[in-house]
Amino acid sequence: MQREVASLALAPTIKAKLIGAGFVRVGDLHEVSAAELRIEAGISLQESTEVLQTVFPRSHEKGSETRWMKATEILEQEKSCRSISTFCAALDTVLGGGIMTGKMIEICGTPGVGKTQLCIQLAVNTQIPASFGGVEGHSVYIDTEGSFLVDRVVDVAEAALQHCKQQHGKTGQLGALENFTLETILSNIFFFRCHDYVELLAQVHLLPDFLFKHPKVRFLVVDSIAYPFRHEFEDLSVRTRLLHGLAQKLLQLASQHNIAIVLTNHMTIRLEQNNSALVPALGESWGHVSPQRLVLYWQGKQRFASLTKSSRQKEQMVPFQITSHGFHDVQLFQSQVTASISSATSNTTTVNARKRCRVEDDDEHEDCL
Amino acid sequence: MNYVFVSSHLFYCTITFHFFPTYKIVYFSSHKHNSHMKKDSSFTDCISSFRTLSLTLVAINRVLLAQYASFPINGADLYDELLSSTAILSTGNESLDKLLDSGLYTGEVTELIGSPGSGKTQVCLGVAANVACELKRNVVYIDSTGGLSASRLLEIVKSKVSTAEQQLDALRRIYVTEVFDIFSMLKVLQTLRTGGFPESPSGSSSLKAVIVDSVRAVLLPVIGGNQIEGLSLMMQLAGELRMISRDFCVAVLVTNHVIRESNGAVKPGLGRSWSHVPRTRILLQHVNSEMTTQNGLRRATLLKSSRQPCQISEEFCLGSWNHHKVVKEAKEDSIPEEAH
Amino acid sequence: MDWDHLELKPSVLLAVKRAKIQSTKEILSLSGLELQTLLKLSQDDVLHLQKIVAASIRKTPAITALQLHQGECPSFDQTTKLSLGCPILDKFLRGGLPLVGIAELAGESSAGKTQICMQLCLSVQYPQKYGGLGAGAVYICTEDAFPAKRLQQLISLQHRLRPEVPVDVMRSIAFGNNIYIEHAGDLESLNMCVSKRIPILMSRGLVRLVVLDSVAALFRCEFEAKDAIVKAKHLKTLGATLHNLSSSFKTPIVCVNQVTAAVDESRLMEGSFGILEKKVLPALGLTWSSQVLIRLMVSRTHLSVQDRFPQLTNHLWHLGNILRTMEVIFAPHIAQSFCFYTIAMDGVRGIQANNAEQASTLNT
Repeated sequence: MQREVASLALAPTIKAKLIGAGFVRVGDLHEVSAAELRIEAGISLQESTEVLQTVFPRSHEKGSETRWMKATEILEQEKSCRSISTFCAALDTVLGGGIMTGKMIEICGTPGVGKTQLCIQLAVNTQIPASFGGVEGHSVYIDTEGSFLVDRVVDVAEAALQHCKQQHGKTGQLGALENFTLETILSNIFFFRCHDYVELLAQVHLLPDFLFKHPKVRFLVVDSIAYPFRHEFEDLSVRTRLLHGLAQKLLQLASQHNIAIVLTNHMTIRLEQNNSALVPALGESWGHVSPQRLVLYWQGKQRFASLTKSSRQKEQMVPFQITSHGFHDVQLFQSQVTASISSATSNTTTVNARKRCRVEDDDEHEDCL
Repeated sequence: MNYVFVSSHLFYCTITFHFFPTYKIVYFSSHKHNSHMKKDSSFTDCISSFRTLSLTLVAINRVLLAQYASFPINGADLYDELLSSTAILSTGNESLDKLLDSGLYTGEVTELIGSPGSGKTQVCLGVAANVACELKRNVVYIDSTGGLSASRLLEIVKSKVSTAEQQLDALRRIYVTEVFDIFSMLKVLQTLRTGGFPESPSGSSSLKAVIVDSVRAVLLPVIGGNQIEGLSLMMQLAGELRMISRDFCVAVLVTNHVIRESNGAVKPGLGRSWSHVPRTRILLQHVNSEMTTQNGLRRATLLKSSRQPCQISEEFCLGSWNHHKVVKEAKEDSIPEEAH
Repeated sequence: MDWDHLELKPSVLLAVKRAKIQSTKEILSLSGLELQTLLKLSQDDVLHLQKIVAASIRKTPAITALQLHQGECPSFDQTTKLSLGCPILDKFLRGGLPLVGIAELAGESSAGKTQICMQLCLSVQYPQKYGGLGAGAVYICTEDAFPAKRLQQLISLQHRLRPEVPVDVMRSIAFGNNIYIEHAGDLESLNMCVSKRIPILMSRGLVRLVVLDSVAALFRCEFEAKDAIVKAKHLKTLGATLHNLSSSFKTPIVCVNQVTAAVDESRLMEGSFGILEKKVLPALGLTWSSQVLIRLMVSRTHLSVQDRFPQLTNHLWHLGNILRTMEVIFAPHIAQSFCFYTIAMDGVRGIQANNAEQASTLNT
């Protein structure tokens, strides 16, 4: 009742009229009929009805009451959430078991380092049956760059199937793979192509309805969020506003529908006084949007993934590799890597990189003690 | 020497109370008088009757002033009152406590700013865990970035108390709500202010901290461009935060982003009008700004304070809220089977 | 903008008309709060408006990857590819170039970039059965004059390069008449060409391939180091225009790029693409790289075909002498790999080599 009228989600002109007529707090509107309000505030009957509906929503409508949750309940929720594996065990460990559903993560990287590959891998892995420890959900892929090539999805899906079949042989889960075929994997990836930011904004407006109709969606990717927003904008403040509005909507979807949301971003060069640094694009304020940020980069001939922002995991970096089958650990193919290092003509940088990596591992080890 | 403090809030109230009734009294009494006045009454009659009226008015005025006006309080009394009502909540982190002059003060808004990944959310989680665990007080955590992680909270709590029952007790004191736009944020704060806080065994008075992570997320979509209303919403939010902190004697902790200027210096986001809102402001930075250094070391710098010299800074480790051993075990548990 | 055909509530429709909003884009670029102020509507009405407008822009429903895979949606045809005119190179690129997207061909001078582009211009003219798209090509020259003489030679030797195509099919194609050559000496004329003239040719169905030879030349001479921001902006705009052309007409875009020596630290950091041993990197930096879907790098080796593949000696009549490599630096559907090719009188041909041979060559 003490709530101020000014803070309600009404049209500003109506708010001004209400306040002008003396309705400063919600309590002032209590037991006022629409007809009375119309005369008092000088607004139309329809407007006054709407005002009263907004101020006193009928109790059964959703969102009318603030939902308070104790941290213990959230803990239960988090425990019951399954994560989507990347198929790179080291990366999964860094991420705390994989990509969490219900959360948003931003993946940044230079062109060709594997952002799209990771997204495709995740879109496929989302569908791994629950009996294999998967999420068993559907995926939504919003492509803004035109880099979603279905050939690659087929490769990755076949490799994932193969992987599960091997497990199946080991553990003897009968029938678990019946509904896990190439056809089902492909038919459960929903693809949207957005050519510019207007289409992307429109798509995000339509997503709530889509997700309502497809409740099994557990993974949504926008690949990339940066591309449509990196040109066409003369006024950067407009861009900031649109991007942040978009991000808040997506965050809401992630939490409401328990979906893992992945946004990919480009890298750009920031010139500082004496040195330049490679930083994620879209400006620094964008960096706050996603609660988690993973940066993929090359070091010598090796790809690395580095978790630079997370509220629950430590910052860490791990090597990974992309084979024709998709994402993988480097350790599995250690012999190949060492072979390629010894054969590389200019291997000094690579070796340095590896050394450095080891040193950082040691640092972390010291932290543990 | 005596200092005179005048609370602007109180002053404002007095003025409104003072003027409106007087105006009404003048209006009503003159109205009454006119109706009683006869057509043939002389001019002097009028004057005298008005004079009596004005005398009455002055008298009324005095009564009203005595009733509502603020009066000077000396510093000693104010200090006593402060001591009786203010509590200082330790953040659980020595370096931060040192910067904050031993912790977060109730009745004040404290702001944490920093670039992405500088550890704002970590500090928020740390404070929430400490208040819930060590001080055994309730905490309200308003999350607008989706950054809250209960498992991380549990990790921090585990490092403080050993038994599972105590840990769960601590987590039960942290009330979380997610908001995604400015209107729901205002709604949550207003329900909080008007006693809409969920009942807890020890009563809502044990609420000691309100954490808002972050104000940026809800405000950035509504400010800028040609949105006149954005600024007023921002000031409403500021007003709500201030009022909650004062009326309920709770410490309010908010996070905000930074804007990097062309010369590489940083300044708090959301512009000048917001910059007056928090009493205390702390900047968090990576100790080594290189992307590859991942030691969890952060530097906190005091940018605004009424108690401590500004620009003093302290370094601390983000992981210091918990033991790393715990983290490792938790991680190994959570790896899905098929990843191996 | 005609708002009447949208299924809006009468009150909302009236408000939109009263506020004189011109386009749906305008509505979507405004935040809910701004719309409320502008239209004097409540939040629910604004949500309703946004949803209806969004639906009017996004008419196509969700497509599943299965539909894409089976080629069921003509607007996203990913099964058709543009052949390079050589089965070995096609196999290397998993069928050829995808129809939508910018493919970049980077390499030192005389590595064979222009030769590959010309062969693409001919290959696109074949019917779909033979790997083409049954339409002509636009060739935009920014550096040198178009090598018309060499083109004539290639046309006259097409029957040698493509023996699998029946003679009557080949005779029916007037190769020379379907290649539109544009010269763009500066950025302005390039923009003019890309945004005005080419769309006209494409909308008439005359052209299904655009070659830009080279994109680097214009940007490298027109901008100095200090203009990096302006340059980046122009590159983004050009990239966006090309992307639009490509996706609205299902037309592959091939851009030739130069290479720069990878010497200074910052360039290495810019994204070395894991090809450090190359010592050269494609020019134009990170901004341009983000626009590219498939990046290929070609280079000539110091080896001759006879040295490397003695078993092929009896085929030498149709192979060139210098051994060259084509390398995939990145592509969404191909792993980093490389393939040998040569340039002969009649065109560009890949050489089938087994893995052991490739590995041994890498080491030498």
